[in-house]
Amino acid sequence: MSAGAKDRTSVIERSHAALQDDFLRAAVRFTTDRLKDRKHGATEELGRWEEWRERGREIRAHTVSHLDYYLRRFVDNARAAGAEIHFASDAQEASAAVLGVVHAKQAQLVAKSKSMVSEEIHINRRLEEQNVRVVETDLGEYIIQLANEMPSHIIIPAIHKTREQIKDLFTRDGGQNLGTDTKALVTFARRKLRETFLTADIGMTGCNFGVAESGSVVLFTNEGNADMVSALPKTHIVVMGMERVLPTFADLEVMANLLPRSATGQKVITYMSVITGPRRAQERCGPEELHIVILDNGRSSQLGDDEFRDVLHCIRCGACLNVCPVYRHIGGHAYGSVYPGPIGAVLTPLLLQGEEFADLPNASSLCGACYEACPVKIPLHDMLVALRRRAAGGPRTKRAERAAWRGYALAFAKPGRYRLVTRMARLAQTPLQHDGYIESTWGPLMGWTNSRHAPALAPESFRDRFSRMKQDVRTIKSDPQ
Amino acid sequence: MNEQEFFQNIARRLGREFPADANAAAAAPARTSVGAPDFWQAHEWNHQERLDNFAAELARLGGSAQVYETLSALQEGLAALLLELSPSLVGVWGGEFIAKMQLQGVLSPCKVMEWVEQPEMIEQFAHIDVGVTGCDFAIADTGTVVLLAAAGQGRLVSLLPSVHIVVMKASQIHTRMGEVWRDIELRGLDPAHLPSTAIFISGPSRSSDIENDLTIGVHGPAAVHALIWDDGKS
Amino acid sequence: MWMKVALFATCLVDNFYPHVAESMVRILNHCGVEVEFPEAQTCCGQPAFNSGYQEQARVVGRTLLDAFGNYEYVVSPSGSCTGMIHHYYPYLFDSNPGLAGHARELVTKTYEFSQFLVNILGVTDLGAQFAHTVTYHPSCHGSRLLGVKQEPLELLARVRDLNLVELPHAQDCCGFGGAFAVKMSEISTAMATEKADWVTETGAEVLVGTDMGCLMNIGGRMRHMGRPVRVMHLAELLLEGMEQGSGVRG
Ligand code: SF4
Repeated sequence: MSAGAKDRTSVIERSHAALQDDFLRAAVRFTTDRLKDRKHGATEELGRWEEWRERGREIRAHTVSHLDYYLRRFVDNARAAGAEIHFASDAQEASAAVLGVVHAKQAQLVAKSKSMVSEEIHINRRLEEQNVRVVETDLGEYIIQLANEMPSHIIIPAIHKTREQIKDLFTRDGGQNLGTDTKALVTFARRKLRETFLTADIGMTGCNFGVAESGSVVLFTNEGNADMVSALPKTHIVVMGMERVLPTFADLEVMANLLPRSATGQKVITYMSVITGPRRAQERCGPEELHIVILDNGRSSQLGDDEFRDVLHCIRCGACLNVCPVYRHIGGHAYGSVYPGPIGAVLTPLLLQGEEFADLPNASSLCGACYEACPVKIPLHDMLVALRRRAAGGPRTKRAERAAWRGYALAFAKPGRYRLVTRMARLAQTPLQHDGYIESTWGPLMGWTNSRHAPALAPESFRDRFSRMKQDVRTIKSDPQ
Repeated sequence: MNEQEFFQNIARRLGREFPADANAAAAAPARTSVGAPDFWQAHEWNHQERLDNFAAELARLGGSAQVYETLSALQEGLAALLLELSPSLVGVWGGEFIAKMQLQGVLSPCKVMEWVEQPEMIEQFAHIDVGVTGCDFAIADTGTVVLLAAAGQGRLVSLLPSVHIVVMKASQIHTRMGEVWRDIELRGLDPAHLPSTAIFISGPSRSSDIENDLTIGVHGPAAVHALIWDDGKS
Repeated sequence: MWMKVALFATCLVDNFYPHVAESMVRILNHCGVEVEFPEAQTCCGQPAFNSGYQEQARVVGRTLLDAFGNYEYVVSPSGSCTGMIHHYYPYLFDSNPGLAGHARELVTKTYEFSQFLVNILGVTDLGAQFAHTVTYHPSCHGSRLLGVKQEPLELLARVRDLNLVELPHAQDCCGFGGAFAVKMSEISTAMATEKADWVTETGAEVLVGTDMGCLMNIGGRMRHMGRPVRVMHLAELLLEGMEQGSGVRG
């Protein structure tokens, strides 16, 4: 099923579907557990992780709060190195900029390496509408593209696909007598995608980081595909979110330590390419032209919003997904947009207004695991509460919900009223309770009682009992150490 | 969108009237700290530690590193490796590399092709078995080799073949990534003069995209061999 | 040592689990601490706050500022409610100059039960004995946001004959999350079910924790699944153990 927001379902409906899919849940559980364990091992091995994390946060916070300065420097330096810069305020302008280059080059085939921002602007669809063929070259993205789906994880897009399914997809794409072993599948993909690299007119990548002091675009991959995509075709297009900048190379060293460890528990990424302009006259390889499309697409409104500015610190490592107990059970597609998991639950409602995303901030128990995992310390759990607060005043909130919280405030703001209300409830529950529990599916808390027994109110509250309690305070010393 | 408006909008959101001017060096925002934590910036290994760590880290990544006391021992090592691999065609990156490392003799039994100029070379190198390159720097902390795009250096020779052999000197190995930047900075950060690409390679190409099962050699090489001449000893 | 502290019972314990608060009083008495229960307190306001109803959280949370103004220490059976005070009260009352100072002061003197015993009283060995197999669920807010990780384990380690078995995936949330359990009940149930499965796998007779919200959720799920386990707040377990054992070592 091509899940996602194309169907205007709610998070509840989408997660209901996901919760029925045992394979999906097992696969997500298996992979995220592994990634989580590996990350743990990699950060332990490095040591002083909290100091690294704090540096990461400082660097991102500093850059974002001076984004006008650093982006200006990045742009000036990239131009001095020979890159051509395009500015796009939204997805449509970004697509137009890409299409402009594609048309000018009369390109037929675009080879892509994995990039969340290109998913965000749905560039593949735009290109295909113009009869330009686009091929994803990251193995996971290639699988997802063949299946015509959205990625369900930021780092492992095909986390939900079995090897049998992958074999079938590859067979449809021309694979003959393929087995299901990884080696055979990878060999097919390597051969198939090699043709793409060699014949593509344009290579398109995202940008993990831009270095302001030199105007360099930095790409991280494990497969080496970003390097091929950026170096083999004659034209290289980079689509980058405007917040991707870092001040200096020294700062990149911090990200090079944080990102792979957080993403997959690797000490180091296999390929890190630092691209500064197109190939120079004396050089022997690289593209003739480099275009950088810098995208706003809602980022500037986050920049201007104190409660959400920190979301621009995100380095898209996916660590928050791997520790999220909600993601663990419902997978990525239930989030309904290109950014799943806790980061998606915050980012998507900020970027997109649709009804189908309205419930996303509620899809969290606020356990704080995401914050704890985040290499740049984004307080995602606080942002989810802030989003709920904004929604609470809005038109989508049910009147009954608002009334319930008003009632709560009324009853709990005054100790006398609180006592009265809880006493009344004690009387009212009498027919429902059994053995200290309420077992029936009941009233407004049905979601609870459907699957859980609820405790009954105690016959006497603590405050009523306390006045009769005799305290026998011993005079003692504390533990001898 | 108009560039001026784009920047104006960012500045406004940050509560400023006009975007900060990047050209004036004086305008650079003040920072309390730059780069890695201080303890890491102070971290430095000696020659032997760098060499040992580089070899160990590269091995951990699924590559291999062999250290030779003399250049001629390295040449013999390369000859033996090529004999073992017996490639039908060996690709080498160009420039003075071969001459400097005196590899002509070692390579002569093989059919050798030198990377001259893109795009002509791409097709020919696409199906080559073994690529032999040098490197500009290496990093002990992570088992990384760093290749710069430069006159005469066809760095794609490191990426297209299924086996990548790096011939390098121990003195090229730095402790950590930050030192490599310092060296590149010493040559000048002027964007027009920086190499168009610096590629940091740490072991063979890998993917875990199929049921989280790790495989190597997805797009790049499946094997990376570093042959290191320990020039610090001589 | 003689000291007086205020008990912040939390609305959940006050109404559903009074014996938890009573256990705390008994243990604190044993440690030479007299407990008062200021009646002005109701609830920390977290249910409303987490649902986005900040104004409602503020008026309810005010009851705690009123109740605890005159005490040196405030002790609560919940890491989550203590965390609410620590992390959000300064922000919540920031705009009211009359209350901002009180809110900040409350932060500095409010402790979760195990935190208070171990870090303030310096007590880890209560002379308890509890000959059962026990597993411990570290609640998210207490352990992550408040940072109470070691204290409950230190207390449990000193209980004689207690067989503590590690709960697999202990750090994973049990799916409670207040209104989340009602609004997103299916996801919440899936989380609670997994937690229940791990508890079952430990073979423990008793599940112990420091937050009745989570324990109510896990226990309620397990009872519904027909695999009831004895669910105890740390204070209850320690008190029962003290009655079995020799009492506080001094
Ligand atoms: S929010 Fe933090 S943990 Fe999540 S993807 Fe972004 S950087 Fe990684």
